[in-house]
Amino acid sequence: MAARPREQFSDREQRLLASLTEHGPGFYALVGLLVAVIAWGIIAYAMQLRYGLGVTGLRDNFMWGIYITNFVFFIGVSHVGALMSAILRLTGAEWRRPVTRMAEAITFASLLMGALMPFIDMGRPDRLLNLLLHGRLQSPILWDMLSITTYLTGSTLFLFVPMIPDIALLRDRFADGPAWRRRLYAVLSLGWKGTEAQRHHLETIMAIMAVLIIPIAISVHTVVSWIFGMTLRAGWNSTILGPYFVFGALFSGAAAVVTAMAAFRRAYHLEEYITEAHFRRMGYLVIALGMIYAYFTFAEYLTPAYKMAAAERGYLSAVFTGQFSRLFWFTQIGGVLLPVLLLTLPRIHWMPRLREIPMLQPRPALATVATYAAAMIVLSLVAPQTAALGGVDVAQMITPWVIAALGIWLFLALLPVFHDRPIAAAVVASVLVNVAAWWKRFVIIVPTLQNPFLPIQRAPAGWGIYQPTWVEWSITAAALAGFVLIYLLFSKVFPIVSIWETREEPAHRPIGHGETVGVSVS
Amino acid sequence: MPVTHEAAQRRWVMIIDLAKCDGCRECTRACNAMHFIPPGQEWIRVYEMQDHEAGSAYWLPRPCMQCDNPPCVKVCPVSAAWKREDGIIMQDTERCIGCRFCLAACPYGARTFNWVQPEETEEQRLRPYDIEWNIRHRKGTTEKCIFCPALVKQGKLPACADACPMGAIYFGDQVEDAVTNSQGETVRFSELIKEQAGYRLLEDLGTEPRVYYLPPRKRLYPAPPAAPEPAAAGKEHR
Amino acid sequence: MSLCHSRRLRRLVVLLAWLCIALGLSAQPARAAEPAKVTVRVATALDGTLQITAIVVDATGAAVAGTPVVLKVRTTFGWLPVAKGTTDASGRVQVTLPPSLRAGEIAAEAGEDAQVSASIRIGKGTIREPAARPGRDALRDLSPQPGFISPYPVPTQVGLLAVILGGIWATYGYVVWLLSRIRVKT
Repeated sequence: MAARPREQFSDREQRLLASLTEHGPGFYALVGLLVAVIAWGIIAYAMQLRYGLGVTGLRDNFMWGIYITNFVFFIGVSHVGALMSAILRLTGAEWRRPVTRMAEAITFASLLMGALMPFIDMGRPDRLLNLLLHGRLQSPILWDMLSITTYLTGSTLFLFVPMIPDIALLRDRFADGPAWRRRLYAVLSLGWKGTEAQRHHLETIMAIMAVLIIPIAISVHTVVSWIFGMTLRAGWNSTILGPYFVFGALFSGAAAVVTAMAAFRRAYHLEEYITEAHFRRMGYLVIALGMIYAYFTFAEYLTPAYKMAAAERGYLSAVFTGQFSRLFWFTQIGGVLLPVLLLTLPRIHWMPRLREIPMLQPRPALATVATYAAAMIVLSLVAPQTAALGGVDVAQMITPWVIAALGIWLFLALLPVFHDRPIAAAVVASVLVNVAAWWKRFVIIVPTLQNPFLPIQRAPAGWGIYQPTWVEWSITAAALAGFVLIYLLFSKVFPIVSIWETREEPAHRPIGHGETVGVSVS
Repeated sequence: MPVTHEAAQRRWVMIIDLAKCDGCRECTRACNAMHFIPPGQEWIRVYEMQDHEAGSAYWLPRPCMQCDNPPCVKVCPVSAAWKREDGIIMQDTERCIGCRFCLAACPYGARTFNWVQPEETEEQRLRPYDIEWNIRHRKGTTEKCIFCPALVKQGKLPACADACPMGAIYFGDQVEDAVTNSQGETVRFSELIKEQAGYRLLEDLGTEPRVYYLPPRKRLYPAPPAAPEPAAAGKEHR
Repeated sequence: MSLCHSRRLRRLVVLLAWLCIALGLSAQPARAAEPAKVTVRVATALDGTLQITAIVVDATGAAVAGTPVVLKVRTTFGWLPVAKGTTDASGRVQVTLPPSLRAGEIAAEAGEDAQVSASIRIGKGTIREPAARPGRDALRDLSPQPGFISPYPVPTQVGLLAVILGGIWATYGYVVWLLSRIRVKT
């Protein structure tokens, strides 16, 4: 089969294959940075192997911390594949076609990172085989192992199978790149010719996997939640933990797809295929999932707060008004309320009229906020002396209110800006969602551990509170870098937007800005 | 007599008389010495408790409860924690993979983890690894009180019970219905619990612990000082 | 007169002396003898109850009555008092103990300060040591979830998981087979 030169690709295909062909210096710089972060993480892990888990901040009272947070976070993000590819496919949402592969790739990369985390958290990774030799089926960890491997296999199939026609296209016409790449395409394309029978098989597989992957995905995060739910601790001993985690996962996964969509759209100029309409629809998904997630959070915290049973009083106070209150309210206000507002308010048609209010001009507003922030920092340095004088920590008291006021002001000033740039709004919203999602997992784990049934007493210095160390942060950063790197490398070898799925029936493609119907089909 | 298991030869049980405990922590010292426990760990920990503001403050020694409905055994993925016929929850540190699920599951906080490789003394190195002595400790594994099966096999009381100068810890066999303390006092287990209204910690959680407490009524020794501050960041604690 | 007086006086003194001796002798039966030895005998009745007899004697071998006796049973770590009694006129204390008592040794302590004691061996051999890992489910009769937390695979659970997971992986196998069909159809 002679490889034809690149000019044989139509404009559309060339655009969609841009990610495979363009190798700017930016790409290499990014890969270099990611590899450096991963290398640093490996060094940190080597320290942990050598000296034991004592190099982390974990101690007897808080035996799970950042690693398990990462585990829950990454497995959570991985649910988006099932959502986008399977659920949207079954409901016939045709607009999903350009973004399904991105979603599946996110699932794949994040499952790999997520599945890695419990092994990093183990005290004796050299005894890994014991899980297979002496595994107890009654333990939630075994359920985790079984369901994550099942989901990983299913996701890999679900990622690979729709790629076959595209790989066949690359095999036929992509002459660029080293020989190994052409061999890879030849092997992976499974001799695809586009015949009727082959298409039939492909459609059958897709239909089966779409139905199969949904219960598997739901079971994955449910059993992940049950490593907490099956204990007696206050805060974890909750019946709705399973569904709560599933919807939290879908929420943060959908937001991750929005971020990925924006990133690839900008980097490879895919404006025609990932349009504002896609962002709008993904926005609806994020809003809907956010509302459900907020409902679950409300139920999860209001129900024990109404009763304030003795066992739960400690962690509820810590979360609402105590040690973890800033984190908790950030995850709810900054992680759910703010993104939903950012996705909805800018679309209101009279938003630009806000610019007429002089106070809400963006530049003066930003300048004022910056000045206030600087003043607050200075005040916080000076304040300890005033507190000693007056006995009342004025800075402590007014800080939340000042921050809230400034935040609202800034928000209102930026709304007209976002009205003109809905995709920017969507990106800001999705990044906030994911950052807050990570901290929310932290807030689920640590406050409960800090408030056990029997009080924490006679703990050596530093064993009374969880203080993560550089090892844990390095490994977290390395996991994130690994996730991004896998995704990036994937986009370099395979087209990130499905060529053949977006080719079919132009009438089904959503109408976005400046797009014409009836692009030449090659 | 509650013989619950056909082949049950023994069912170890412990009674701690809170009226006699004076918080000297000799039990902790003896346990730490006998098992060469690494610093920072206490397999029997004496808490200063006060159930409610109007209640009395008292000292509460807390060993592993060897529960009959053990949360730790349920969640261990490799069966490194299992319940023996005589009621003791044994810990196999050769098999433990260090996932710490049992630490998360235990509501009494009775389990400890070897976060680093503990320093071993010469004396320790001479002893072989024995699951009933628990003298050799391995990095990255979980350990806890196991009611000293090596001593009990020889007819001696566990280290904590033996070391208590007040005779507050009684230990014995529920099948024999007799518990003994360090003063040589042997009493009927069922009678002692009935007379003094013995209770168990966190009974509502349904873990069915095998350690009973006698309420600190007409206490013989002074109560602990005013309720201690909960451990805060960086503060040294007693 | 003096001679009559002195003879009467001597007779009075002798009479008094005899009186004292008589009093002294008669006082002896009223005072309890010191227990010097106690013997324990055990008899097993047909229904399995143990009849325990403790006999307290003094140094001369005579029975001592009215002495408190405490009967104790050997437990793993000490001696458990099971019965108390006072010796009757023949120096015996008899107690019947129920058959469920798993006793290896029985002791009797006699006297106000438990000065004398003796013990007797009864009962079967040694107790079987528990197995290193339970040969059967040690929790089966105890736990509210009898089978669920067993260290050993529970048939229902394994069956259920096998069916569900097996079904899923079988479907994966079918999918892979379909993929191979794609490959064949060139």
